[in-house]
Amino acid sequence: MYPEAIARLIEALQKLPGVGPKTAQRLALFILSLPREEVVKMARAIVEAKDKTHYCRVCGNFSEKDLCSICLDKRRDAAVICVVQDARDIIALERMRDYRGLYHVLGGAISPIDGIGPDQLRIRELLERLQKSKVKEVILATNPTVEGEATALYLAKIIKPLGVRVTRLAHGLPVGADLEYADEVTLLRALEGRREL
Amino acid sequence: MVFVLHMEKLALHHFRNYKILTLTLDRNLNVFFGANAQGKTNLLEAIVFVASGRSFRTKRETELIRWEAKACQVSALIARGESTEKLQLLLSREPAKKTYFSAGKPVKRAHYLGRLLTVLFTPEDLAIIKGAPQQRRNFLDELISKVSPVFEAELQRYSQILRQKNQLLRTYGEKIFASPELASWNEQLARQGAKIITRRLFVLRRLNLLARLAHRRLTQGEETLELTYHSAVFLPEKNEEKEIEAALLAGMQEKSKQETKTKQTLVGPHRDEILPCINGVNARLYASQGQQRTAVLALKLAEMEFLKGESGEYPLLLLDDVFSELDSLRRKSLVEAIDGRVQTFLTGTAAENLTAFLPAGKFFSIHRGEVKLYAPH
Ligand SMILES: Nc1ncnc2c1ncn2[C@@H]1O[C@H](COP(=O)(O)OP(=O)(O)OP(=O)(O)O)[C@@H](O)[C@H]1O
Ligand SMILES: [Mg+2]
Ligand SMILES: [Zn+2]
Repeated sequence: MYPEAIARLIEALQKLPGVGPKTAQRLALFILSLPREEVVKMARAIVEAKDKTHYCRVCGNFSEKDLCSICLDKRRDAAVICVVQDARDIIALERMRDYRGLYHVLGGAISPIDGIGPDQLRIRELLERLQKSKVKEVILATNPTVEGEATALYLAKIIKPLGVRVTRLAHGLPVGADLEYADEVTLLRALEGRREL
Repeated sequence: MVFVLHMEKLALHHFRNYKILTLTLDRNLNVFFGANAQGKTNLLEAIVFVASGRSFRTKRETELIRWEAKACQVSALIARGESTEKLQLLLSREPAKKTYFSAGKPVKRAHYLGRLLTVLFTPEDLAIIKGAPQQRRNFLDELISKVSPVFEAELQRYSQILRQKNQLLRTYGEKIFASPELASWNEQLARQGAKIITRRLFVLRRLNLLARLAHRRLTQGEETLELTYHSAVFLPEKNEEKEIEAALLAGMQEKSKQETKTKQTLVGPHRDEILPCINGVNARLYASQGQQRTAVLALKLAEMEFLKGESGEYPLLLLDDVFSELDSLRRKSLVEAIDGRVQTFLTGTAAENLTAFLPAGKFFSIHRGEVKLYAPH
């Protein structure tokens, strides 16, 4: 048995996704082997990231300020909004530097089994944005999973009557794949070949 | 002589009630006999397991591991003409994990599956004719999945959509009627459902031809077997996927009131029926026991021919406890259909009951997980 302090560290590390008891143990022992300054730096970075990261008031992207750097960027095309499930999907799409519009993070996908309906997602915020600004096109980039697809179909239904063009990221993506894991070429092809909904 | 795909060797390690077993098999026929609960079905289960990565008896696969053991393994040496191939499947208890090997090296599941196909016939298969519609849907879906892993994934996706929609109906009932949320699930369900129905109809047309042929032979031309596909919606004549999708969507909209009331999805491939008819009469309701047997046998023979057509090779045929149940005419027709073409594995309780009409092959006796070669007099 480990002394209590170490045991608590192992327990904490196990909360990370994909980390089981064995890996947590290995990570804990590794942390203990580091110089104290390193450990303090690491612990601070975690707390600081948590305290300083907020979500953009408009699009829901990660942001340190009220508005994220993308929403603040005047060179970006405010007439196009790309709708994604999670903020980390923005990072994947930004990596290919090809998309010049804005984003909107839903915070998940419709899933009755998990008790998630339209009201649990940032859909009202999206509709408000569409009403307030002159958006011409909404690109639905939810994941090609069953839930992501249902969300896209739902959004198309309620957005189209507003006179906004709605497109879906085309199926360059493998069925069931996460946007986050798609490589850039695949993403680019998907973006170019987006289809009308 | 035409070469036959066959299993040359089979080895089990800690599989069910077997400790260690190595068998050299006959390329034509292998008969296993023994008293009840000695391991006959277990052996066939091992063959299906190494071929398909699945058990036909249980979903909890760790049951396959011998009680006191940590892991089990089934190995098969497959021969195609001059070349051989070694397939191995290892299943561990903790964590419950399967590892697929080809030629001694671990390979991906997708790379492994589909190299060895099997057709299994057990007494329970009689339910294909008389049982609930689900039995016949499963029969067809499993048959298609054997040659199309994509179809298996499509089925899974369909049931995911269905589960989500049903949960929506259960949670909100009539309150969800005419909502865009329900409509979006319906759209997705119709699109996915159409994929499945289109494929089923396509394969069914071919299977029907083969089954009718086999059945006419079994009944000496007296009876005609036909499977017809019935859906809650009217299926367009041409069976185009797009048209089927439109028909399903229209059907769902039409039944939407009822669906939100009963909180069930009433339209879609999960409700469809594949009805067997003999000489135009509903066999599910009216077939005699003999007619059921003949019809199931015809379907199994048709399945073999279908797989041969799709993959270029006959599958292995596994007959668990059914041969002794067939009368002499059916035995004779079965043997005619398979002899020299299909490697067959057959089980029964007594050797004497099995020998009639059987072609040359190896006989094995099974006693408490021990297998001995047996020389019939
Ligand atoms: N994981 C396991 N470990 C050890 N023994 C097992 C395991 N699973 C099943 N058995 C044993 O295997 C035996 C059943 O074998 P099997 O089903 O092959 O019988 P059979 O020879 O086909 O009999 P029958 O003629 O009644 O169909 C049972 O006695 C059962 O207890
Ligand atoms: Mg048995
Ligand atoms: Zn923003």
